[in-house]
Amino acid sequence: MSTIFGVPSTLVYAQLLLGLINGAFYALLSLGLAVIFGMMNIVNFAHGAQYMLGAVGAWVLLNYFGVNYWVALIAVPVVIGAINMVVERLVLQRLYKLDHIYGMLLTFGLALVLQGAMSAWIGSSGQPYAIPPELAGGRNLGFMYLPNYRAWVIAVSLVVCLSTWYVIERTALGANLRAATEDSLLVQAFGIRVPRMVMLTYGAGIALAALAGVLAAPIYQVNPTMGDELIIVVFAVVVIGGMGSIMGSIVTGFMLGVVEGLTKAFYPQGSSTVAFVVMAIVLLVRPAGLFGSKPDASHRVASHAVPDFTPQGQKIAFVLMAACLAAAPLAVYPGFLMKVMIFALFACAFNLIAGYGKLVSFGHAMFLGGAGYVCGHAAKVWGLSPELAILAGTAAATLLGLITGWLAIRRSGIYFAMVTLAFAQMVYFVALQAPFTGGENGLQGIPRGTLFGFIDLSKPAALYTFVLVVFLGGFFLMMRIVGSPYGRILRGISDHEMRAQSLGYESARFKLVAFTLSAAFSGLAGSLKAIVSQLASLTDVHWGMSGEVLLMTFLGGAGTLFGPVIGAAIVVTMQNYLSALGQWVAVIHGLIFIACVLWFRGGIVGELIVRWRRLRGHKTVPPDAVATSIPQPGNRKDIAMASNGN
Amino acid sequence: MRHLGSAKFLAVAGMIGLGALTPLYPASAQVSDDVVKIGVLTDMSGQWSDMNGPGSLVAAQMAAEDFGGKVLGKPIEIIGADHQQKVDVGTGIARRWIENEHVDVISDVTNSAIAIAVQRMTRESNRIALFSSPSSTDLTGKECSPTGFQWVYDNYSNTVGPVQALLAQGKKTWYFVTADIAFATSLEKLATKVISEGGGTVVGATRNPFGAADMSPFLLPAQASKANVIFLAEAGKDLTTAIKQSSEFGITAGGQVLAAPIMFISDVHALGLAAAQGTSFVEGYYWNLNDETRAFAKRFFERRKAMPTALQAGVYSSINHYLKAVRAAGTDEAKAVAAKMRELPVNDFLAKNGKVRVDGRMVHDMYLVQVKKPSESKAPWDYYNVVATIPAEQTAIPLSESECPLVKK
Repeated sequence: MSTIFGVPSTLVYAQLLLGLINGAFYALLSLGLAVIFGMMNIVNFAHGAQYMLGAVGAWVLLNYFGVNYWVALIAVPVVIGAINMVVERLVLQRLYKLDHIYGMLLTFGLALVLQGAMSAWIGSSGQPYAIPPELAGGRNLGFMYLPNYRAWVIAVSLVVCLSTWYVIERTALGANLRAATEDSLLVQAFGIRVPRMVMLTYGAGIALAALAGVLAAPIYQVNPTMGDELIIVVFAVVVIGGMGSIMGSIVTGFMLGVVEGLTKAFYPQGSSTVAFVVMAIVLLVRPAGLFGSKPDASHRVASHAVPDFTPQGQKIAFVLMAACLAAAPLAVYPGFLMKVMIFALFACAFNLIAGYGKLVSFGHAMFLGGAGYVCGHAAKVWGLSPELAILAGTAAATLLGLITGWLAIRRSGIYFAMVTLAFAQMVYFVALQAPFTGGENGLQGIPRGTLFGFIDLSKPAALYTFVLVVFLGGFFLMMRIVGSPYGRILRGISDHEMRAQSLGYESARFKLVAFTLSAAFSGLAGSLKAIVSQLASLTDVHWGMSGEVLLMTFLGGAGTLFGPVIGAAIVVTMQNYLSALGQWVAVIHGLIFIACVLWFRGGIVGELIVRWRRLRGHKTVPPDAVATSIPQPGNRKDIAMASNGN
Repeated sequence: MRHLGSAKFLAVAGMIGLGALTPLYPASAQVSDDVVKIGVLTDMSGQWSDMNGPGSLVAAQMAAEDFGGKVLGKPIEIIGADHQQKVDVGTGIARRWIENEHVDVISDVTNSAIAIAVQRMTRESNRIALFSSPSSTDLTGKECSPTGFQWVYDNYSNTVGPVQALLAQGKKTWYFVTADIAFATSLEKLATKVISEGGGTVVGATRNPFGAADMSPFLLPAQASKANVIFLAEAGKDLTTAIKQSSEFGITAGGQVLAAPIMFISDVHALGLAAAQGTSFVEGYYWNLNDETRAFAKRFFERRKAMPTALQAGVYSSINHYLKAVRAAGTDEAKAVAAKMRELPVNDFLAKNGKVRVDGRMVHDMYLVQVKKPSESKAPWDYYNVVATIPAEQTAIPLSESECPLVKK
């Protein structure tokens, strides 16, 4: 038996071929994603959900209407594409002028809604879909037995991808399309109906995802979460290929599939992470991507500086919060309250960088979960006392924050989100594979121990008091940081980086400090969580957790002090007390996301403050908004915007 | 001004926090004397929901109803929750049940990792755990508990016999395809030991993520290894996907044998007889054995529109035995009840003179079954030929080899 580097050569070829099949799906999905990004400047997080809908559509047609695979292959993409054109008209159009991050948030919400609804309907374990009889069987290629259906998938996706590329790059229609992405106003002046073109493009992009879904149904079965993990890899493909580059997505899609296949043959454990390693390298070395031409397409138009409490109000609110939390265990289950405080701490930490620094990270789970593992390991295996274990966890998160931050802050907007996501996926990989984390089973049986040698944390009252003190202490520190000159400079940088730089501030250093602080406090929350729940698990390092903290922060009010606390309380309450609703909780989360992006970009606290001030007849500039800006004449416009809400 | 006020105000806040709290908490949780509450912690919607899930809850409710809804004059309450196969979710629910909702018994707990966490929690808080679904032998091995019971089967009961039989047929080389979760890795360890003791060799292994959509990347190395037997340490949907794809990629046609020890009637139902025929494995319960098993199955079917799996039957059997023990002990205090459970023989449709051992393992006669050909099946769910009855004492690790600290040697 011939071998390649110790692996049977037949196995290498077989994994390569399987990788190529995966690559076909990556290419189809990333192609749609690239077209949508190119035309609409929206990073469509719901693309995976649309792919899943394609598979569900095929399944519904077969089981409820007796319509076979071949009809579904055409009908499903057309119907789903058409439905989404309506969605584009009604919803997405309102986002084009906003920062990219809002498009991503809204489509993330849409993905949660679709996935939750489908899980509630067809069950999260999925439904079988048989291979069409015409494509059953397979042939022996010598090095492997290739099922006919998988060969078909490669062929179809190649044809579809290349025709799409041809239409866009080589026809008059495509020329108009490309021109419109460069300068839509000018193209409109030539008499071309750009909005209609955008709508059709979006529909076509989604139809490609749905087509991929129908193709996938017989291989992967019809599963509500099938798009969930795929979309993250597809993001990597689009970023590597270059946002908005058609050929880039096709080539990168297939290439990444092949790379994954090779990794599966030689180092199987690394196969799920290799995409993110490649992505991180490409982003750092060649930010525009391998084929990209739009290096940084961030076009921040509206600044959403949110007014906050006055310093006096902050103190009153803080004392009120402390009093409520101290008295609450009389009426409410302390286990639940501790969870609220831990997540509130996490959300406040996230808010430091996302709210005040305007750098929306999509990888904060790595700090929460990573610190949890380190703290748990320190307490369980090294036998450290809880305070030292928490310190160890926090220190680990701080270090991780410093390293990833140093690399990530060179990018902004959507690229920043993607880089942090890539690092978080690598941490997830370590958590899944490293021997000390317990993999899927988690790190169990973490001892609570004795604090400072005399406070026994296994006593519920002691534990609650400890969590309360840490939370209030952490919150207070962050409150002071935000209110300090440093915090004001940070906000000044996030409002207008060039201006801050011209005033002599080294913006990169400020951002790095903010990111590291944010990581440190997230790590504190994660360590506390490990001690309280006596468990460190994969949930806390999964990217879903990064999405959850985003939800908490934006729901409560990013860039306000108490917003994240309120947001965390609401989200945790829903998870705890609405758990009987099962998957519908995810649907509610998604709807909240969408509502926030469309109507309450200031979040609950932000909107309340704005309303309150209007009610009180404050026409003047809110005091805190002045504080957010570096005082200098050219700043008037931003302040006016801030006082108008959003 | 900000700087001046803050220190004082922090001190005030701290005093509120510390001062108000300390006297508020009673030293321990309340004793639930007025209700016997049983929580069914299971996979309600995920890939194991057919073999456990809502069916386990129904079985628990049937057990309570058959007892008249009351024991020692107090109501029996059944609640259920979905752990979503996540350790943090499962332990969170169990903790809330124990600390805040007066739950006396936690039942089912499919997923060995969650079960081990629940075992530790119930041991510390003096509650009963009735594990009818998790198969890791650690539950009655090094993680055993005076108040924890493993009911229907375990990795040992389902693996040792079938592996030895294949070795005896001359199948000497083995390849593992193992899900990366607690029950499966423990199963691989156990099977590896049996294989090497029986003169076989393990030529390789792959680990697939739990709930992998596509099993082929993990099956192909097994195929390339040309091992005689591919051992599938999988359960539920992972298992049925692996079996289907083994035939899609021509693995079974190429002469390799699949060994799938953890299989249930729900899996056979999902695969269909055409795909599953000839498969052989060990079952703790089959609905079509005798009048008693059929009577239970009929009542269950009326509610669930599916025949009960051994695991669901085990939920009924273990709760039924627990309630009998509560009645006999005259209290719901966990240690007293646990002692009675070990003392009384288990007699119901699932077990005849079943015995609860000191390590918490309930042993009873089990069955080696083979899936019928489509032509042999005469009615819906008529799936098995019972090949042999396995005597109770062969279905668990001999106590002399036990790692359980409760076993005195």
